[in-house]
Amino acid sequence: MPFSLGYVINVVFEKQHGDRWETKEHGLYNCWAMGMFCFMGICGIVFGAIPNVVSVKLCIYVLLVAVTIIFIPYRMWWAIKNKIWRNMLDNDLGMDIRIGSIVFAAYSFLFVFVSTVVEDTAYYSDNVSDVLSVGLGESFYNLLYVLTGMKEAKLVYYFIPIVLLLFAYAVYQNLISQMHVEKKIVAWFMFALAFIYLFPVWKPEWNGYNFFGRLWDTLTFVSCIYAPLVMLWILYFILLIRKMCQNKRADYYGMIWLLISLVFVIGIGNLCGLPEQHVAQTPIEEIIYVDQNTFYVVRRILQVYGVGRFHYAILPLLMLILFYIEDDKKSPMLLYGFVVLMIYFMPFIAGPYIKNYGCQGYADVALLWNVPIFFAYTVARGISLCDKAWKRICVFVGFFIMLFLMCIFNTSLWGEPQMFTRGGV
Amino acid sequence: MSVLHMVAGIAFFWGVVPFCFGELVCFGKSDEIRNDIFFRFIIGFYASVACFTLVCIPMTLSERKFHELKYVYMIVVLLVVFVICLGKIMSKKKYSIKIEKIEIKCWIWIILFSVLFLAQLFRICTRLVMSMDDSVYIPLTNDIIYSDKLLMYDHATGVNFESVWNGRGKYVGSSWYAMMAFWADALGVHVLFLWRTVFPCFFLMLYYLTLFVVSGVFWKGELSKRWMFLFFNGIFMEVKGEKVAMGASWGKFVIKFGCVILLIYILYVICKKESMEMRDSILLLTVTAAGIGMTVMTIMLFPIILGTAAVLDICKRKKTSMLIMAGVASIPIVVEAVVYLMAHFLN
Repeated sequence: MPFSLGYVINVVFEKQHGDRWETKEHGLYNCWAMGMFCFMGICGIVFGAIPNVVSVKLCIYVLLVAVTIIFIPYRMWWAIKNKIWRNMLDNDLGMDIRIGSIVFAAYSFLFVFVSTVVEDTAYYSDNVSDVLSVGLGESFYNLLYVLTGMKEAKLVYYFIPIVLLLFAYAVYQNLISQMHVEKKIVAWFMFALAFIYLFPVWKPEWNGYNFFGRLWDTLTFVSCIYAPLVMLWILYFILLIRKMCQNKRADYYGMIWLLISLVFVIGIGNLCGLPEQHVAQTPIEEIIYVDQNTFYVVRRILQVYGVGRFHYAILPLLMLILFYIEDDKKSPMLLYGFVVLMIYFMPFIAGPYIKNYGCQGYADVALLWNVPIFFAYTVARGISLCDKAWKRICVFVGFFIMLFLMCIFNTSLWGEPQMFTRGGV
Repeated sequence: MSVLHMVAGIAFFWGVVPFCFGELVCFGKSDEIRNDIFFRFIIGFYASVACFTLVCIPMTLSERKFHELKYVYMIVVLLVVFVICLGKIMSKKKYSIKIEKIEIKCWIWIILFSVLFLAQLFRICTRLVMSMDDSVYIPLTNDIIYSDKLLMYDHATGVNFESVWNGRGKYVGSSWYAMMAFWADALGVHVLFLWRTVFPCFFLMLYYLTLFVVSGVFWKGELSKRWMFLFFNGIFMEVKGEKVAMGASWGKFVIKFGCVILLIYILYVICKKESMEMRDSILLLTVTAAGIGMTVMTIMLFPIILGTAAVLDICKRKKTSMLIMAGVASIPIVVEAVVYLMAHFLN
């Protein structure tokens, strides 16, 4: 399905631009990642905004299936017609893919192997239900629940990690695609380490679970995967913008790509609340019990300080993006700036409908730290680029109108009106 | 008298000391980043925090008294101030303040921003906004002042903080409480007043100052646009204005308000240089050391940022110099992580 969506986007732009990035530079994985961005983004928005509407889910399901049915054959036909299979293979099945495949295969094997060993998921199932009901509400997982028919526990502990790992792999593959082979090896080694470090050391008596149970719990603890995943996404985002900035012309393809990848943030934003919620949902007896366990402390560092707070890192990293953009004054920065602005505006529009913590967590990040700097940058840049006074006034007035709308839409997001109020406990 | 005490304390500890520490950290030949007096002030403030952290953590672990910590830190601070002042007097270099002619449109933005900033300060000073976390931060800081002990034990119950996971043990490696206690003592104010009035005002100023420095990347030599940027940023901050007042006193908010922005700015400036100098790693080291003093969450946050910059630089230059610098800058974080784990191991 993600591949299909990626194909759609590529085909659409092929018609407009005669350009096809995925075969030129990024490879098939880019296509998949693009589709995945889009897929998760749509799910995040739609199911965040309109919860509990089965018909909407089914509509999207039908739409996605239709896309799959139509475009995969089209894509195959197109590839055969243009005789590009050979090039695609040359590009995509190089050394990096082979090395990456080995690493990925090892993880896949581990997942499958462990999943067959662990039988008792009753505890997890209950726990996951709590977490989902509070942290994720009715968003992304519900769609997968409908689509796959899996139980929540299986969904969270079996399906999602594999998808996320695939996704991380795709992004990482893109990230290091320009490196030499030797450095790629090092890079893949680091990639492996990035996930290995998430494995806490096994403690047999820990909560009474056996080795595989604990390992599986750790492996599939969804929050553990978010940190490297999101950081990889940010890295990729930076590289993408740099690539766009290097183009002489206004690259609408790149802009839409950026849009899609940012939509993904909203999708992942719906999941943001999970790590800390999970910690918060853990029964207090369990916390006290495992408090004596040093390895719990290691996990806690990773989860709370590493993952739960990862959004603190997004602000400076997004600033880094701005820095990179500024390296090239010819880039259509204003356009990109407004795309960023628009994307950040979306949660406010959906705000009144979103009650779950997950999106609130995202909105918190967006509102407090990222948006002020991004908005201020965009508006200031917009005003400075205007050549006539009336244009500057328009931007200035438009800024306040947007601000006003934002405040209005934001009122329900936090459960109480925030505009012109200075609330506190 | 108490007002004079506070003003003198602020002038010294948040005025003279940051400038002196800034001079110390930005030693050697001047360059783009070190020439900026605002940058020197900001990095100097974080250097003073880092210095306190480096003094505080060993003394906490060795269960020393709070007043001993105060004396040791004061000796270090006075030594630095003395050395820098002496160096300035002995130096034959003459300093001149270059005042550029400011255009009218720049004045408009300056005035707009100033009005906004003053309004924010006024709100902070006239409205006491409390949050739930204050019930932890303020009593614990008061504990340090009145019991003269650093945070190893709960003075009310005698229980070792590390024996109960109650959300406090995680601060064993952070000097934030002790630092608050020190400043409250030095300024002669109650912790609540420091926490909810003095800090937000100061850190808001520091935040804008940091943004002003960083905006030099976006609008180099265009002063009016930098002020415009500050103004709009202030407006957006106003939308969630209660957070400005509520959050600015916590260590992690200080981190978010300026420390990480400064870190990424330094990384950017370093990456922009044609040839990297290892002395630049001192700037990074200062920020990371200050970061661990403020909040333990930097254990993961800063390595992620440093690692990202290192990876990007490897991609760009195909050299590992940035990686080495990031490694050097991560030393305080590693130490902090070790302390954090040891505190639990030893329990």
